[in-house]
Amino acid sequence: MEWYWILTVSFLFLLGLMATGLPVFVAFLIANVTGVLVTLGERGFGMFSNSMYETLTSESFITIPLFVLMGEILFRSGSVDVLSSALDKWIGRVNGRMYYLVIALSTIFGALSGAAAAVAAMLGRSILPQMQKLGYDTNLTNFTILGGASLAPIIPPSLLVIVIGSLVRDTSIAGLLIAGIIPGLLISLILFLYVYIRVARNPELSPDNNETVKNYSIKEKLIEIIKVSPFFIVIFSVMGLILLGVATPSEAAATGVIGAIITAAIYKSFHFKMLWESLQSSTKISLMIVIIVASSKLFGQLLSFMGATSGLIDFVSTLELSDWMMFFVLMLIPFILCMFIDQFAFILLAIPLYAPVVSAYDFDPIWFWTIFLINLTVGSLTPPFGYTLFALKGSADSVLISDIYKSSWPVVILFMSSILLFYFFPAIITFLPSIL
Amino acid sequence: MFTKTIDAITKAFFFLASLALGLIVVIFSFEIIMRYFFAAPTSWATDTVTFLFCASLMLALPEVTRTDGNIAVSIILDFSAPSIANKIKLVIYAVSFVIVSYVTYITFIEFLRLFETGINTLGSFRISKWIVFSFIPLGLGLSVLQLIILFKRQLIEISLDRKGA
Repeated sequence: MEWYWILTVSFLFLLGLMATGLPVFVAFLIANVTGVLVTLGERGFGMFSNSMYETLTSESFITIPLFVLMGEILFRSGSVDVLSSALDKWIGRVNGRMYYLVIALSTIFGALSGAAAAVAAMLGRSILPQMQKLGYDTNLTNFTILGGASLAPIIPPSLLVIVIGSLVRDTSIAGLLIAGIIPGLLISLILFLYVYIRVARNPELSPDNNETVKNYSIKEKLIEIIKVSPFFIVIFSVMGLILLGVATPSEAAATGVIGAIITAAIYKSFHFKMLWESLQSSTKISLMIVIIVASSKLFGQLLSFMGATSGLIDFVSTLELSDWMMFFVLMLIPFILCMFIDQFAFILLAIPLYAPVVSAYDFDPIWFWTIFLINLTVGSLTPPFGYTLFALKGSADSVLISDIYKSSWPVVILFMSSILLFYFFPAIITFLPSIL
Repeated sequence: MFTKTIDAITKAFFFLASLALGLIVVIFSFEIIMRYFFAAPTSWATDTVTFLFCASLMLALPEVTRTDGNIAVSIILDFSAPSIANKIKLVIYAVSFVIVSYVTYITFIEFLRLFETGINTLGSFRISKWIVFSFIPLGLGLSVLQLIILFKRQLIEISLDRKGA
């Protein structure tokens, strides 16, 4: 069978299965079992089992439960409320201030974790219910969580950057890491602007209009800074230890959990019952996310084994397209495939085939791979199968998946517009690495 | 009796899954302390947490299945009438039961192969791979039993719907 038929049939089959309402991991299992039986027969059972085993024992993915746990502890202990309250006072009389707060928090937590799904799950569990209670618009809240969380793989330290940097030979990991700072902050600013315009055009989106917001004195605001200072322990436990080279991202996530426990203890809200409930909740949320990744891994491998992935990429690379057309095609593939398969799996499949094309077209490697990374992130938040969407849904029972889909489209459009901006103004990405 | 027994085992597994996540935090922190305060990094910490990660996830799967918590694209269910949604759910449980049973069988065969060949895990701290791998068919197998319970409950709900109508 030709590669394009394999690709079309496989994706339509999987899409059909998911549309029925089957658990996503079950849909992947059906597709994979069918694929293994058709291509390899019972000989492929070992490959099937090992693909699950590899994901379930991957150190990279341990970051997900640990960051979810960190969020759970901060949430259940009420520590997040202290931070929200302080930022709330500092933001002052701004309509829709909680939206800005969520973008700010998700940018910070995203930078700390490097995993969009983990941040979406954490904020979906902690901030979303609080905002719903306060009367904020659920769709715009989802937007801020998805948008902010999607900055996670872009703003350093990012796990995906390290994976890309280690696979692409002519690119420095440090350069790639630093390259994400300005684009990440710029996208964050764009998200702020979007919320500002939405709230300005439709004041009903913010419950602030219905209440009197007190104007706080400088002294009161300074006291709030002192109150939130224990959060620096969490930030140092994660970011500080990574930047100092003391801990790997997974280890730093574990020390972040310890930092969260210390923070909760400082606020005198640490209890073993709370810790146990946080552990149980984090275990469940993590399983919901990682079981999908574990089940999807073989799908990518089967596509590769049947020659569909390489057929597609070979086809693209022999088109003799102009620079911008090639750029567009190279970005279109991860955008589409990352809706279905894990970003790590895609990176592993694509980079060996992409790298020669990037080199042949003389694209600046740091510029290209940074945009590639942003594009992967967009793929993972694009309906109907983006992982980040499922992570948010998994942590927020009260929100319908259809509402999450609706909220994600503006994020996708804003991120795609940012990619265009970075295409036409490459210095936004390359400036910082150039002064290294 | 069957349901009570399976639920009790599921809860026990979930207890161990949560405990394993707690242990991951403890071991990672211990490793950092040993490495930077005592200049004595362990050879077992990183590998052990990956084993615990596998155990934690697979031991949690039956509990997530019991509470019907696995993520699904539930648009059709959300927009269907309750009686139709109940029937669709019944089919979903039946299909899930069949496929998860088959995957349990596949992974169990691999588990037996690993047990017979005595292959070790990769990494600096090596143990028999079957020990870590065993959590996969174990978690899937118990989830199969939970799917039977969900299927049975759904059948009862449908029959109650019919009586009510």
